Amino acid sequence: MDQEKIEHWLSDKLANLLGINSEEIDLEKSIFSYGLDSSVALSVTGELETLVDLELDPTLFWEYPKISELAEYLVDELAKQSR
Amino acid sequence: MMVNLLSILEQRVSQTPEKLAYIFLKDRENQEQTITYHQLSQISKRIAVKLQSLIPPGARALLLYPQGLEFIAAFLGCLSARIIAVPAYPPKRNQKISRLIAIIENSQPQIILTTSSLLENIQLKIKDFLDLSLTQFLATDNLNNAEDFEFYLPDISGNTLAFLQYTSGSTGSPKGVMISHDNIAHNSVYIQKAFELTEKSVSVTWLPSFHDMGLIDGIIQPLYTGFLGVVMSPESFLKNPIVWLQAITKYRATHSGGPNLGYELCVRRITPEQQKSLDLSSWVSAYNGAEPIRRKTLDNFSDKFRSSGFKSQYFYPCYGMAEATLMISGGNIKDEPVYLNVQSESLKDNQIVEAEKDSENYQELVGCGHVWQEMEVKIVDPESCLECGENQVGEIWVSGSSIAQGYWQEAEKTIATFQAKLANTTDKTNFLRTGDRGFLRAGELFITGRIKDVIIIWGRNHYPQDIEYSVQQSHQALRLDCGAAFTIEIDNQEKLVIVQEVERTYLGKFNVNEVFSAIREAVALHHALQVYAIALIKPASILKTSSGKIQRHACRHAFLTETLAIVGQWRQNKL
Repeated sequence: MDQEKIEHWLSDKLANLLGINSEEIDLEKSIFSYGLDSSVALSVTGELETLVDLELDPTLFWEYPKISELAEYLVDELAKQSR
Repeated sequence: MMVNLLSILEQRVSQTPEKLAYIFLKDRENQEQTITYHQLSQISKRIAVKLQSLIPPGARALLLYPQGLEFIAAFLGCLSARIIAVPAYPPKRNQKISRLIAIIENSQPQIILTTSSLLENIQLKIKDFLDLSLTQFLATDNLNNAEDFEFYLPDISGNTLAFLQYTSGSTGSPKGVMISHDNIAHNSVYIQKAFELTEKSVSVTWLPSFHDMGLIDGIIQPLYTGFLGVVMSPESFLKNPIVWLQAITKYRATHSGGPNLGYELCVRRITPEQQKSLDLSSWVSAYNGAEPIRRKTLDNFSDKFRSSGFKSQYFYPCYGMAEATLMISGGNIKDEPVYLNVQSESLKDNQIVEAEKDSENYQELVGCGHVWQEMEVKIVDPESCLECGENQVGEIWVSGSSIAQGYWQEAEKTIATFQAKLANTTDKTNFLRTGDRGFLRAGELFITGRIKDVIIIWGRNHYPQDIEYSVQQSHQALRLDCGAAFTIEIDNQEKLVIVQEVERTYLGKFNVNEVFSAIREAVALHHALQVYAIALIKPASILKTSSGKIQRHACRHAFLTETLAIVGQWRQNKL
């Protein structure tokens, strides 16, 4: 699982939830600025756990609100796991 | 001696000191944290002694804790020191703190309590808004004050305030409901009776402890009646709804519930594969409150989890609010929920006419049970204050010993809300005006909506005028005072819709997508709400009364029947 793939999954997911094109999603912008509420952010965190097969903190999106940061963090975590 | 939460705790310590009071389930690795009555008493007294050394009795302490045992100990510590506890949610990173600041301004806490891991972050976030010469900070999870501390229980009467429960008033003015020790005792006995709880009951809660339902039912009730309280964080549940039902399975829970949306999430997000390991047959009261209750959700949940041992009579629709400490009404524990279909047309005129079987235009209502003991409910015309007749919808008024002492530092609002009197009677009873509309039918209370336009999502109240204002500030193309925010029901959930006029000078000249995204962003940022649909409409086309007030119900109707003068429209995809 590389950074690009996670970013892609997240932008698709977000675009799908918000009913906008994934091209409109800026990886450097906070996901909350698109109008995602916290209960939905938490359910995405749950789905993300399944995708990357890692247990994730519920505050994940608040710690890393930008898709690029979040993907980078996840790639690092995955690397730590495989070490 | 008078019974209060502290005397109950002491009684448990002397009778069953080693019995588990609470189990907290950590989000990660399924870890359990446990605490016995003896430990709980020791830790809360240690906190009380520390508080007594720092601030005078009657001072307020703001409690900013993550869900867990530290909160429970600190809450009881405050009560033991006769400090008024003010539970609130610790600010998350990258989240607006305007509500928290408003709570601080209103309650004027002399101390802010939290855990050592959050302390620094919280100090950093809110110190600019405080007078630091008046406010102290304290982490309560690793206090090492004197090994052999001496604790003196201060003089606590039934009228002594125990805590302030902040409700979601409109932005900037949250109201602190004053809950006394007697209020806690009365409502705890009330809940115990209505739900037939005993020392053998087991509760599981994921409801936030800073919220009335999470605190009174999830934390205080297990201690009061003497049964095990299993607590998990709302975040764990929202991330993975199965953890709630897994906890019920594991601990053979009997008493557990939440708002309608919680059940809805279980229906949607739990897979058949996950469901295999569940056994819900121990459940007795699956209560549903704090939000409009939907029959469809109850039916779907029963159908889905029947194979896991769930039965529809476990459902317990109920009604309550912070202003009544918590619980106002509920049914008999073994009964099926009560359903009633009423004609939509007559409901608009505040009349209840049962819908014919083959009628198409009806509204499905779920009964919220009846009042118990000395609690009294009246249906009252909100204008004339005259009691309504049978089959007539009016405002729900409540009286009884669970009714709170008023709003902290809000004398006018306290009189208006807590001291209402019926017109044309000799009855001088003070009633709480709930602001909810409803009616009584054979003793069963039905809720039909709010008196004022209030948007309720996730058990939180949002005021449409606040949302409309945020929308209008988000982009220059939008006209001030010419928009409406309301909810519609989509798949058994309340979804937010914005109808907003565009400035004449911008017509045909603005980037519609840019406006949509500005609106979504503003609403998310200021209200933590997700917009479901936006309809931009022609100038001067929004529906208003002759006096210029926005007619939100009419706008909603026009939106649903697609009769708005649309210039741009956006709608969220299905989840």
